[in-house]
Amino acid sequence: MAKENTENNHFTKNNQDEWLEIIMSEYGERLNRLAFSYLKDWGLAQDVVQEVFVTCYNQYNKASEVHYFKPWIYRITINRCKDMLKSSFLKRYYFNNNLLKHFINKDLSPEMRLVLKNEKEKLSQTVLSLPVKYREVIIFFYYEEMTITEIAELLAINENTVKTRLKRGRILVKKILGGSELYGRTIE
Amino acid sequence: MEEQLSNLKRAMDDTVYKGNHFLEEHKVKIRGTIKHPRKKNRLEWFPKLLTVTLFIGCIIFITDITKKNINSSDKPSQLEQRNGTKTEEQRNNEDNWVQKTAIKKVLEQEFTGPNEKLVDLLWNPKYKTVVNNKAENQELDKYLAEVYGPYFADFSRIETFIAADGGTKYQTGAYDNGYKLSLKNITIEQENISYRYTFIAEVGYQKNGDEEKTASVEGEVVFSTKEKEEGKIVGFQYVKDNGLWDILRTSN
Repeated sequence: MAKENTENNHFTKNNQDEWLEIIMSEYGERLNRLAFSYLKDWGLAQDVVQEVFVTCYNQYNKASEVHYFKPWIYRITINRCKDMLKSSFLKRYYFNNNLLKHFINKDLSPEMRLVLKNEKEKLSQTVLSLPVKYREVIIFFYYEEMTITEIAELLAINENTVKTRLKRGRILVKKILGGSELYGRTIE
Repeated sequence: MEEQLSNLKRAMDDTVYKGNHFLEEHKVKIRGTIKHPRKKNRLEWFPKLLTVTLFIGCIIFITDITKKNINSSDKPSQLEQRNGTKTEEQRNNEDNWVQKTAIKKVLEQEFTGPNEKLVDLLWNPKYKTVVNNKAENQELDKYLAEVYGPYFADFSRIETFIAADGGTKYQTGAYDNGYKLSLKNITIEQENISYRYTFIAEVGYQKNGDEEKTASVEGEVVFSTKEKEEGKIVGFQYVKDNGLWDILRTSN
């Protein structure tokens, strides 16, 4: 991961509150998207991001010693998301709007169907539908445009594992998209 | 595929990630949480407390219902009354079984044999000793206690049975005159008074290889009414033997 010298300056130049404002502006949206890629729910993603920023604020002194801030804050977010995914079935299904989503998905409007036909939407939804371990490497590699080494460091796994997961992830995406294309053709 | 995935950033930004999801309101919320951390804690424990309260409530409710059920089952209903009678009957049957076994065992002792050991103990003078001018037969007492003890209320009842009510008389008669005795069948009936029983024993007797004859011996048995001596005999006597005793005691 590229060294972000500018980030280090935040810790030295500004006081704690100002520093929070800066990191919120810089990472707020990115972390929200990252959390969404894990949780597939904006509400939960926002909750996670809120917790992450609170943690950062409380660990201001520790954070100021971090040389590579982006991987650090990403790691906190990823861990929090994984914790949430591991948390109880009830919490995941009954105390968030996923339950509502299930109902909505069953009754897709004709407009939504058209949107889903869109290739971009198809690709995005396919990636989001992958199991977490493939989804995360695909997103870090293709969306965040990180290198294999960076992903391995971030997720604390072997580089070869990252490669294998990427490969399998691609195969899965191909399989799913291939199926949907075939389906689309027969419809047309 | 690779080409498609390389467009993932654009694809996701245009679709699922479309729009801004981290707004000023979220920043305000974060600032608020940081400045008033307790507020969040207060909200955090509330659902937990609610869950615990509900859980305890449920337990109390279930316990209460269970208690009520147990209490109501204590009250006599028709069904349970019937069950109660049944248990009493069963108990009665069990009692009968104990009493009938006692009678059967005593009759088996009397009408199987002759029992040479018993006769020897009765008649052989070597077992008799005199203590304080009183004849005693400790071996015989020991034997009688062993054989009849489990069925009689106490030893004095056994003594009465042997000395006064004709206990062992058929044994000695048969032994003296060379008869062989065998018990064929026993019928025991409980009288109206629950602790009194009557019996009819079919006894086979035979002498010198002659044809076996049978005689029925009738008698009555009284059981103890004391709880401690439940199922134990206090009185056992032969009432009618259709001449069996006379036959056995005559040498011809």
